[in-house]
Amino acid sequence: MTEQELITGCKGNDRRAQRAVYDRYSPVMLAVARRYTARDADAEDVLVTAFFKVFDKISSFNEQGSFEGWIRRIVVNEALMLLRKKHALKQASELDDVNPASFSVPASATARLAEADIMALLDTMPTGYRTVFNLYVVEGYKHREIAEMLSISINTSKSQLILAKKRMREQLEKMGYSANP
Amino acid sequence: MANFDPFEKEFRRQAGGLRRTPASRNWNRIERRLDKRQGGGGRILGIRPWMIAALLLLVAGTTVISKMADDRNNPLAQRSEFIEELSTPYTPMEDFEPVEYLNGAPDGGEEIIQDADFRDVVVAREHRVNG
Repeated sequence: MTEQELITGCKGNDRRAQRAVYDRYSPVMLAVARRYTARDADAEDVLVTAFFKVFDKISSFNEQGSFEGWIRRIVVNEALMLLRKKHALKQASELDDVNPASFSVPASATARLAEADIMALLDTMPTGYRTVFNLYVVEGYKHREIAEMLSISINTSKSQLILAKKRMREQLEKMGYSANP
Repeated sequence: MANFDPFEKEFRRQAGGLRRTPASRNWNRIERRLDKRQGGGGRILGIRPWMIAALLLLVAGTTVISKMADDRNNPLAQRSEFIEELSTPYTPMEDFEPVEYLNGAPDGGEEIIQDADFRDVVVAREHRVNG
């Protein structure tokens, strides 16, 4: 089935089309959810809630943007809701007079990063760092958008990102990924 | 779009390629929720469709019963008549056969069996029972 056929099927509550959409996108979306949540079980809860919402609100998808992008936004939103429910986003600090360059991470280290290590790196970070890092670096949101989504200031968002990168550099060194291969 | 440094670009590329196979029970959970939503059905003015169907059935049932009661030719309706309605004009049955008794009353007299074919035949005086 083409993506258009899947969307049309889902809009008609066709269970086969819904299953096909789930089969096609759930592996990517579970990985997205897992980057935000510290536990596999939480990621699966997010996945279930998000896909139910996808099928429930499919009529609101106007088919102008990417279908996968639309699903991903729902998954990210559900993950943030779960973190809010668990009060995991409350602790956020601001840094003053920080030079972001001092916390930069060498790209050469990341190029050789194994998939399992990416998850391990994210898991070692506090929820606030991890969330901002994911939203900014992986999803591509701006600090202004992140500040709105998480109900924090723009400076807090920037601070969290810098601290996340600092923590990441430390962890990369611990895991044996150096700047020079 | 934000301006990414080389590390961010690389991390984004790597993280974007991550895949995780979900357990099969997750689809079952989604399906259960979808079934529940569809089974629960939509609401019309805040009332569930089965409630509307039950109300319509009740109204239809009441209408049918009241129509049956109004129908005089219906045996069920005739049985429910009150004693006060016995004064209504008597309508004889079409196949009614009058019975004649020797002494004029059913308790003391003997029923005369008359053949309908000879009812209009005049009996001679010497053969009559009561002169």
